[in-house]
Amino acid sequence: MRSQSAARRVLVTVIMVLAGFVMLIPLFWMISTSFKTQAEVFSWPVQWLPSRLNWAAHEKVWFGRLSFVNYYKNSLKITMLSVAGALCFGAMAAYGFARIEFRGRDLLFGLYLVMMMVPPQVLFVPKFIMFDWANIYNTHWALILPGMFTIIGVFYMRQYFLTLPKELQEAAFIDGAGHFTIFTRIFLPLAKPTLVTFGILDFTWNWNNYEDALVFLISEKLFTVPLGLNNFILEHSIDYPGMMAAATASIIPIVFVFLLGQRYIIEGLVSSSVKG
Amino acid sequence: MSWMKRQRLIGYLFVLPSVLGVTVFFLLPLLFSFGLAFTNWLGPAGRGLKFTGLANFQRLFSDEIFLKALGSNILYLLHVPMSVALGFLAASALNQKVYARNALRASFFLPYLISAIAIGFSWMLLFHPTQGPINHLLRSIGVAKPPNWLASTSSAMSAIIIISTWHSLGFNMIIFLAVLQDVPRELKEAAAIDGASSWQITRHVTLPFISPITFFLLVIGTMNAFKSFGLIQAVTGGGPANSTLTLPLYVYRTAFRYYELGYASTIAIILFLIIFAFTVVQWYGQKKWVHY
Amino acid sequence: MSRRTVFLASVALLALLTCAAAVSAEEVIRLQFWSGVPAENGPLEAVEKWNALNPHIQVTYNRYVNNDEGNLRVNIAMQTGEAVDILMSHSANDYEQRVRSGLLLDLSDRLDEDYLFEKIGSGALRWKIDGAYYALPTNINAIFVMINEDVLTAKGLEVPEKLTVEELRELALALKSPEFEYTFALDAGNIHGIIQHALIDVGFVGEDGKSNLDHPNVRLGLETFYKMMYEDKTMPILAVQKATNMAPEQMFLKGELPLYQAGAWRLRMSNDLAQYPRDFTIAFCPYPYFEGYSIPGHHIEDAMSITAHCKYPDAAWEFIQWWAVEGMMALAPGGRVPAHTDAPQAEARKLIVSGAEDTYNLESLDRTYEMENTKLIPVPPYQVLDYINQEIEKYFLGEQSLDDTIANMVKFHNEFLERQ
Repeated sequence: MRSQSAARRVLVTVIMVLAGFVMLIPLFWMISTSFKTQAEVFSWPVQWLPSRLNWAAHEKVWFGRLSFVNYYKNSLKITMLSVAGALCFGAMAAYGFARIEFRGRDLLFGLYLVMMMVPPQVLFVPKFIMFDWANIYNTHWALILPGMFTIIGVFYMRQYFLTLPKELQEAAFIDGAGHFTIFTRIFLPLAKPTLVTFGILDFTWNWNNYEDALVFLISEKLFTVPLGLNNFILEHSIDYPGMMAAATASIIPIVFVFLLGQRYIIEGLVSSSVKG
Repeated sequence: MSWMKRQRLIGYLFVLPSVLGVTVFFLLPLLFSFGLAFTNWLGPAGRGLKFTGLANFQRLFSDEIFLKALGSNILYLLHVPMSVALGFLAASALNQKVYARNALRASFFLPYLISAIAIGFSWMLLFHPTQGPINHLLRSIGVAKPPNWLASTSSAMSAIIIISTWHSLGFNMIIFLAVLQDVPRELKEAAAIDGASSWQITRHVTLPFISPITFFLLVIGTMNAFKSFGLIQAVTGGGPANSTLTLPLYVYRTAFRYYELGYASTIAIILFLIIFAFTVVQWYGQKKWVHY
Repeated sequence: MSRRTVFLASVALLALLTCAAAVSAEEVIRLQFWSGVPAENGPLEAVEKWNALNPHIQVTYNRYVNNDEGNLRVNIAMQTGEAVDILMSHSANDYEQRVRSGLLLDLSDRLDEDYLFEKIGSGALRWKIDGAYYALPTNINAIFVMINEDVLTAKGLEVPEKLTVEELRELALALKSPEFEYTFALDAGNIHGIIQHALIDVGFVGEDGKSNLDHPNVRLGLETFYKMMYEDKTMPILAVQKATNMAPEQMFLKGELPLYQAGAWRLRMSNDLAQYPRDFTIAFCPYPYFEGYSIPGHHIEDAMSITAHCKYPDAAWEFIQWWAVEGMMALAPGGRVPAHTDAPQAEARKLIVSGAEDTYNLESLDRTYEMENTKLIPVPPYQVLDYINQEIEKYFLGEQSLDDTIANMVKFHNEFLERQ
């Protein structure tokens, strides 16, 4: 029995390593290109590895005239505040929609879904007019404030709260606990993997938010990392090594957050005795 | 007021912050843009604002580019179930005890993080008709005439579907991973003692339990297929010959290349109605297979 | 020291002090200048020079990426008072859109047509909208076919002074050899240029208000390219070139492609012998033209405007005039020659090849600037351009006949014209 499960473990590992390798080929190509010269990028047959490690592109990203250090700071600030708000307001609303039967609830949630269906490009101009009026155009608030409210987060966490059994809540009511107690003491701790997962995803979305940053930030000192990638679009060509070095630099924080978050997503962390 | 009734009213307090934010940042801009659909408002300065009634809608139904983009978009939807299914497989495999689990999870999630322009750059190489590794592989296993992928109107959308599946698989995987932690172990163990195979456990215990999340992923995936445009824009820009032009790309082009904001709003409204229809079907369809 | 000296000295000192006080008391005007030229390619240097010379008008340089989203971004930014004061438009389409949206200031009272024709030439006409000018074009953006002269010499061929479309095809065929996969290429994004060249004298719209896309030159041009792709195999198939991210400029500089239809914007690269070492001479000739029609002439571009919200139009205008004559010189090493005749154009023409002068056939380069019978190519609206691209892509993929291609383009164009 034990040797069988060990064999299975090895087999699954091998399959997943192969699949994971395939998944990573484009990433590998991105990193490899960042160490090439522009002339090497376009040589045939395909050169999978640069002839020698050329750090020029990475130097340009970090120590060039327009350094990514500042973009990083801006992105971190915007992303962290947005994610904090989205988690807090999102989890509350999700609990409300999933677990409290108040009048008009389903209608209101339906409206949320409807708003999620709107193509974001449609909102650029009206949002600009509003931000300009409120004097937050070309400030980080133009990204942070909308970032704090996510419909998808409410939807996702609501779906999760719906998987939890009714008895949880009913037992607590009998003990005289109100919704705030139930939410903070029972549901939030249980939802840790879900909250962490949403946190990782929302971090990713905010970190990579390109379109809003493009339209609502125009001062160079306010730029975020995705806008920084544009520095490598030249007039009639793209500086591919520079672009790929910047793209590589831009994923590092998300990978870090992901690995940190995965520690909370391990089966059995949550006591399963409260469910079922 | 009874205690239970008061507890219900608390529901409003729970949703209030979110409702306020959503009203300001989504609902108000949305209502404003609806008004634009009936005008020929050219550009943000608003010169020559004129009410054009339903003429924009008439134009839409004879607009061959629109009709073609609609067809492409529906084809593009194919990547959603593929990516959800593969995401589930990856999550199930990586929820077991395997070696280097976190590194493996990361390697499946990483594609979701890469910027669109890097995705385009990399996949153009992978799909290169003569020099690309994909066609090398196909030829080595005996496919005499492998497709030209991005360089042909007949195969470009397939290539886009493959790229999108690859890209969003990790997203689906980590959502599944989170919910798989909550499948009650007792249920699985009980089924195993009853002699159920691991496929039967998955089929009768795990899948029903996670169905609300599967539903969420399908709904979100469908919406995104009708909303997102960064990836396709970076890989093909809608080409060749507009064969990968989806509706969001067309909206963007009409609004911010042609500055026909009124017409763009009209397309956006139709797009919205299409997403709405898909979601309603999914919403009512869920009763058949989603277990709360 | 005599009293008079002391007196004069103190008067002079006083005068100086008053002057200095006046300058510092006068509020410093701050202007935001936006263009699509990367800051390192000259603009930063030019703006710093201006700022040193004009302490009371300080200009900040901002670069936008000249694509759809980059243009959208500045268009939105222009709505606010502070963000954009001076804007450089790079395409006539984006410029026209801005004018129609009321984003740019009418320069008619500062800029009359006689002055423009005298100083810039009739190329300025591209920037005239409904009888008014909203911009001063500053740059002669040269367009030419770059030729690997060594390959021609080896075949005993001369650098042509000009070429018709058919002559181009013949030349590409004559240069064919096993060492070259292709002998002619152009940037994939410019493939529709052949139609613009075909309609150079008649324009896209005829006098009857109908589409000219059924002009015989259009057919001839498309067919020639098609034959070059499929019969002669001297030119890459368009869709393949696009989908594989093929970089003809790199192929040309590596000596893998003898004929490359490009323009002055590639000189920055070809001057850079460290990154792109080469041992052949580059010669130049104008873009292919159609027998009996004009030769495509250099673009007159980089049109500088004052935005409608600008608070200091006079200061902005002062800067624009300076830029057109002096500021532009800092951009010359990237291939830009000032369009304004008051600027030292001859010097700029030397600067555009500086660092690699010996590796060019300069005589042929000069010829492209002095060619007679040239004309600006017509530019259709983006809607028409995109549709043309869609149809010719189908044709060049072999998925649609030439007749259908032309019929579709004409039909779409006429419908478009009716809607306007």
